[in-house]
Amino acid sequence: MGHSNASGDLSSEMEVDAFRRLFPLRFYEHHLAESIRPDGRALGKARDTTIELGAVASADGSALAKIGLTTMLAAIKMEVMTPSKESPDEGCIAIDFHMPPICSPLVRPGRPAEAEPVVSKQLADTILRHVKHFYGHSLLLDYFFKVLYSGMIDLKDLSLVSGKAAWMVYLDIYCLDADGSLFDAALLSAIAAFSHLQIPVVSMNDDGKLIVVSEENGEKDIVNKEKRKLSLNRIPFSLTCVLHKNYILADPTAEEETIFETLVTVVLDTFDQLVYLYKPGGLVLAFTSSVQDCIALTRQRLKELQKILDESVSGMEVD
Amino acid sequence: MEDSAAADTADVGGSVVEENECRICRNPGEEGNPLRYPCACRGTIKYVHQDCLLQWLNHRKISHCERKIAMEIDRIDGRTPNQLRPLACSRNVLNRAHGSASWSQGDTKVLAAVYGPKAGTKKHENPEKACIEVIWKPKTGQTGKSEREYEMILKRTLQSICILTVNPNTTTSVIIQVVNDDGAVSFKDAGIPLKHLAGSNTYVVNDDGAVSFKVAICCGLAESGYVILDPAKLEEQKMKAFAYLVFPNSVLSALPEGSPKVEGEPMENGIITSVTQGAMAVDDYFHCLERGRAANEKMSAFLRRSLQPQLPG
Amino acid sequence: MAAKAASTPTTYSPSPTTQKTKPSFFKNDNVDWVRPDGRGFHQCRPAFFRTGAVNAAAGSAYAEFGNTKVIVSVFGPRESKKAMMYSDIGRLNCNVTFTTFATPVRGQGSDDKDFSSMLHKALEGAIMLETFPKTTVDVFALVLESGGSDLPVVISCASVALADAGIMMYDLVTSVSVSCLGKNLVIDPVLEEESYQDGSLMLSCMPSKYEVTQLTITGEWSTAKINEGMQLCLDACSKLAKIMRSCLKEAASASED
Repeated sequence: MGHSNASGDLSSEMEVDAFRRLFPLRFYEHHLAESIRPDGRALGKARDTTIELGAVASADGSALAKIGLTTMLAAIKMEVMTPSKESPDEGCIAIDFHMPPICSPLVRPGRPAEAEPVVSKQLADTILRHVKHFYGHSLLLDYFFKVLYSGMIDLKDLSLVSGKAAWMVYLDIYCLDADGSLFDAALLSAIAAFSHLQIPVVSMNDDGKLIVVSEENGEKDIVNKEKRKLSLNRIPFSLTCVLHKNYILADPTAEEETIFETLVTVVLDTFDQLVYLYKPGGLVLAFTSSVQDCIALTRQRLKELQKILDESVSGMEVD
Repeated sequence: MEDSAAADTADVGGSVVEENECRICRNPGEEGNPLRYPCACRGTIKYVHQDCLLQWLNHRKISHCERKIAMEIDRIDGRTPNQLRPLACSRNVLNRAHGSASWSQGDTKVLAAVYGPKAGTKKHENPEKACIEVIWKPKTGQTGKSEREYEMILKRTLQSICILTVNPNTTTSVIIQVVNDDGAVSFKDAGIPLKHLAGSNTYVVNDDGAVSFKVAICCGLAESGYVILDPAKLEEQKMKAFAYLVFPNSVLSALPEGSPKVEGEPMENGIITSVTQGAMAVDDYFHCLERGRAANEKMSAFLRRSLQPQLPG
Repeated sequence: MAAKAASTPTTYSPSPTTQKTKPSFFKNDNVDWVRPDGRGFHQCRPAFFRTGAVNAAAGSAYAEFGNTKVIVSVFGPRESKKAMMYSDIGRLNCNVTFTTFATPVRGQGSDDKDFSSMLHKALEGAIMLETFPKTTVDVFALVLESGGSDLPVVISCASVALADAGIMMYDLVTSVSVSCLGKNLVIDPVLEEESYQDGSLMLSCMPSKYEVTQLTITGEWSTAKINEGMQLCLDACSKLAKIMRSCLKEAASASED
C-alpha cells in the first residue's frame, strides 16, 4: 500500500491485510487508480490458465481446467439409449454442473449452491444452443441451421443405429476450487473434455444390446467404425468482466466478484458470433462502449484460450 | 411474405422455375441439386445452390447473406416488427400482499406479489443492506433450472434498482407467478411490484421499464440483424436468438439540464440486465440494443401513466 | 434440460464391467493367482498425497492410490449451525460425496451417508475437540474416482487435510483395509477384488500412539484370520503414516522458504 496518501488516512497506519478486509472497496480503488490489481495483474488480463486432458481414467473424455485458482473437473460418460420417435437419428447430451461442499466455504452439504442450477443452465444453453427449436422444421432449414447456427456438436453424430440406438452423453462438471469466474472455467473444461472424448467402439450382441468391443474379441459387426471423435464446430469461449466506474476488470477472482457487484459474461464462438451476453443487474449500467470493450477483451481471450486448448490437444497426440 | 414463408415452403422447396440460375455458379438448378432461396435477396440473385452457398460462406468466414436487405415480414398477429403487444397493468390485485401487480403483454400474463420488509436477512447476505428474495413460479410443473436462473437474474436486477441501504437487515420477498406464458415472460414485471413498494414503503426506486425482445431467425440464412420486438410464443420458437434487456426508466426531465448523462450517453441507455440465448453476430446485438432502447421509452411512458395516480404530486 | 433428461428413455452403459461373462481372475481352489494389478498379496498400492489442493478451504489434501483419487477440504473452526445447542467442545462434521463419474457405471457411488458417519467416527477420537469450543470443523470429501479401498483413502487423506488446516490432533489417522478372498488376505484391495471378496476388514489407527480409532469387519472371518488381518493393517498403517508425514513436512518447509 505504498500509495495510500499520508493526509491522516487511516490506511497508512493499518496493516495492509486488515485494511483490505475492512475497506475492500477503498483498497481496490487505490489499486485501480494505478491500473493494477492486488494480484499484480493488469486490468484487462486474465489469470494463468491450464488445461490437462484425460484427468479421469474411468471416463470416456475428461479434462481439468484451471483459471488461476478456480479449478474445474469435467468428465464425459457415454451410455446407450433408444432415441425418441421425433428424432430417431439423434443422440442426447445432458450437462450438469456440481458444486460439491469441498469447493467453497459457502456451500454446505445437502443445500446446493445458488449458482449450481444457474451455471448448469447457462452451460447447456451455450453448448447445446437451442437445437431443440429446429425439430420438425424442413430438412433444408435443418441442414443450414446445423452448419451455421446450431451448437458446437451435431446431435446426429451421436446416432448409432437409426431409431434403435444412440449415444446419451453425460457431461458432469465438478468445481473443485471456487475462486471466481466459475462459468468461464466450467465452459473451458467442458469444451476440453469434448475435445478429449474418445467414443468407444461398440457392436451389437445377440440380445440387441450394444457392448464395447475390446481388443481380443474384435472383428464383430462394429456399429461405429468411423465417428470415434466428435467434430466440434463453432467452439464457444467466454470471459467474465467486472464493471466498476469506468474500469473493466477481466476474469475476476471471488474477492473481486463480491466487492464489485456488476458482472458481464460474454461468450463468443470461433466464428465471431455472439453466443451469450449475460449481465445480471448490478449497480453499474453497461453502456454501448463498455459492452464493446468487454466484447473486444473476449475476442483477445478467445485467441488465448484457443491456443491453450490446441496445445493441450496436440500434447495429447504426441504422448 | 415470401421470406417468412420460406420456412414452410422449403419442404417442397427446390421446385423452382427452370430459367433461374444460381447466383454463385450461374448454373440452373438440377435434380439432386436444386436451387434454394434461403435469404431475403430478391430478383435474379434470389436463387442459390446449397453447396455453392455453403462453400461461399465458408470461404468468406461469414454466416449470413451480405446484402443487408431489410426483410418484410408479417408477424402472425399482424404487428410490425417494432410493435409491442398491448400492455396492461393493474395494481393492488392481491389483498394480503404488501404490494402486488399484474402485468400482461398480449397473452403473456404474470402476477407479482411483494411481502416485506421482514426482519433479518438470509445467511451470507450483507446485514447492512436489505435482502431481496425472489421466488419464481412457473405456470405448471415444478421449479427447474430455468426458473432458478430467472430468480437469480431478477434478484440481481432488483438489487441494482432498489436503494438497499434504506432498510438494512431486512428481507423483502418478491413472488412471481406466471399466469399465462405466451413468450417473452422473463423480467417484464421487474419494475411493477417495486414501484408498488415505492408507494407503500417510501423506497425510492428507479422505475424499471423491463423490455424483452428478440432477434428473429430469418428464414434459412439470417439476413443480419433482423429484430422483432416482444415475440409471442409461436414466434419464439422460430427465433434464431433472443436478447432480454432491462434498462432504467427514461427520466422525465424535471431538471433543467435534462436527463443525466454518463459518458456522453443518456442514463436510460445503460443496460441493467442483459441475457441472450442463441448465437448472433455482434452487430446484431447492438442492433437489438437500439431497438430495445426505443421500446424502453414507450414502455416507461406507459409505466408512468399507469402509476401516476398513486404517486403523490 | 432437466425435463428433457427425465423424459429420455433409460440408458445403459456398454462397458464390459456390467457383464457377468468375464472370467474371474481368481479361482477359489487356486492359491497361485495373480492380483489384477500384479501386486503381491501384502503389497499396498503406491500412495501419493499433496496438501493445499483447494485454496478456498482452510486446509485440504489430495490423495491418489492407484485409481482411487480423493480430495478432502477442511473448513473452520467456524460458527456452528444456529440450531445447534451450546457445546463446550468443538464439533466435527463430516461429509463424503462421490462424483457421478467415480464409478464404472455412472452415478452408483451412493453409499455416502454410510461413509460420512464412518469418516466421522474414525477421526473423532484423534482430534482435540476441546481446542475449539462452540465451533464446528467441517471435513468434506469428494471421491473423484473410485478404484477400491475408497473409505480408507478418504480417512487418511482427511487427516492430512486436518493437519494442513492446523487443527490440533493427537496423531495422524491412517487407515488401511484388507479383503479376504478364499484362503488369501489381500491388502489395499482394488475395485475388482472388493467385488469378489468374502469378507473385509478396515482398520484406522493412530500409528505413533499405537491406538485403533476404528475397526470394521464384515463377512466371514475366523479369529486367526482377524488377527492376521489386523497385524497386516497395523504394519501398513505405520508405513503409510511415514508417507503422510513426509508430505506434510515437505509442504511446511516449502511454505517457510
